[in-house]
This record gives sequence, C-alpha cells and structure tokens, in this order.
Amino acid sequence: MSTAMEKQKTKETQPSTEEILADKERIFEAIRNSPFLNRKHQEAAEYLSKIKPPFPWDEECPQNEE
Amino acid sequence: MNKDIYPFYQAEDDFLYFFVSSGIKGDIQKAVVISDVPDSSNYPSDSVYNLGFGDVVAVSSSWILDDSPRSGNGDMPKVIATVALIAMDFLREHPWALLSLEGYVDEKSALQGKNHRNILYQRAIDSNWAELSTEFRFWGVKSGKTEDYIVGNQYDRILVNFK
Repeated sequence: MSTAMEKQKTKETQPSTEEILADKERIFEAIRNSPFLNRKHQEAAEYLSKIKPPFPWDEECPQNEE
Repeated sequence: MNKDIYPFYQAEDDFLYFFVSSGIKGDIQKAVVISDVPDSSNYPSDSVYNLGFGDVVAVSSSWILDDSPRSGNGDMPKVIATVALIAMDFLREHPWALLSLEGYVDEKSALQGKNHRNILYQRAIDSNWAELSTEFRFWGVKSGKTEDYIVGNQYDRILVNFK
C-alpha cells in the first residue's frame, strides 16, 4: 500500500502527444533510463538465466555473425 | 491478429515504440521498450529480448515509463492488441530473437496470486491461437519450468519466437 501511495505522490502529469513528438529524442532517452524498466530487464535477465532454454541455441546464428 | 489497434511510432534505430491510448479518461501515452537481455551461459548475446510496457509520465521535470497496470481507460483489449502487434513486428524483423513477456504484478494481483497483465497477454494469445501458432512458437514458464505453451494454462512468463 505504501509503495502505491508513494508512487501516486511522485506521479505528476502525462506529457501531451505533441510534447512527446516535439521532443521525442529526449523523452525516449528518459524512458529508456526509467528505473522501472531497468529493474524489469534485470529481473528478466536473472529469471531467464535460471530456466532451461526452450530450444538449443545455434552458436552460429546469423545475428552473431554481423 | 485482425484487431482494432492504435497507430504507433518507433524511435529511429531503436526498439522503443510509442502510442496513445484514447478512452474514457482521455489520452494516455504508452510506450513499449524491447531490450536485449545480457548474455549468460544460457543464451548467446543478442538472442533474448525482454518487453517492457507502461505509461509515459512526467516526474520531477523528466519522464519515465511507469508500469501502472490499471489505467482504467476502457480500452485494454485495443492496448494489448497494439502491444502484441509491436511484438509480432519485432519478431518478424528479428527471426532469431526470443522475446520474453511478463506482466506487472501489483499488490492486488499478488494478494490474489495472479498476474493480471499476463492474463491479458495470454487471453490475447489464446483467443488468436489458431492464427498466431502458425507463425510463432510460444512457451510458458511456470515455477521455473519451461514447457510448450498450452492454451488455457496460466504462466509466470511467456516466451515467443518466429518459426
């Protein structure tokens, strides 16, 4: 509950669509650096490192040759 | 998926997508960010990606992606269909990628032992299974065990790639 309340307190406003498109590179950069996003990706990395991959990886897969 | 979706914008040279949800509470800016998961002993680099999704909100003179799970804008099917289309576009462009999806678990969901956004993702997958399963492979992960996706089962995490 307290986390949700703190979250509500810190939330201010949403930027308008025009604001985002006019300043999209700066906003996109800020989005990329969002604490939530970094945490979710870190959690995903930890989770996926612990599970069996769904299929064997081909080490010569094309994207690794680029 | 032949669904009603929102038009979306993609940042140049990046896997960051932005769209506007228009519903009963007005316009809500949404973003989807697909990031590569750091390579580990389990996966080669640039093979596994994670999908993050939320509302774009201004906080302290900047912006963040907020994983607020309940916008209450009355358009969740359209929002989820848009996220699904973004994910499908990404996988078609990166056929070697494995994409990982996990919903946000808020306090109410945790108390109920459910992940409502996963449920919504899975509802979208299940209701379009005949079409999706011809083009994509799905796996579900539950309690650390990965299995071929079974329609109707509830999973902690969903993995998908292009066939």
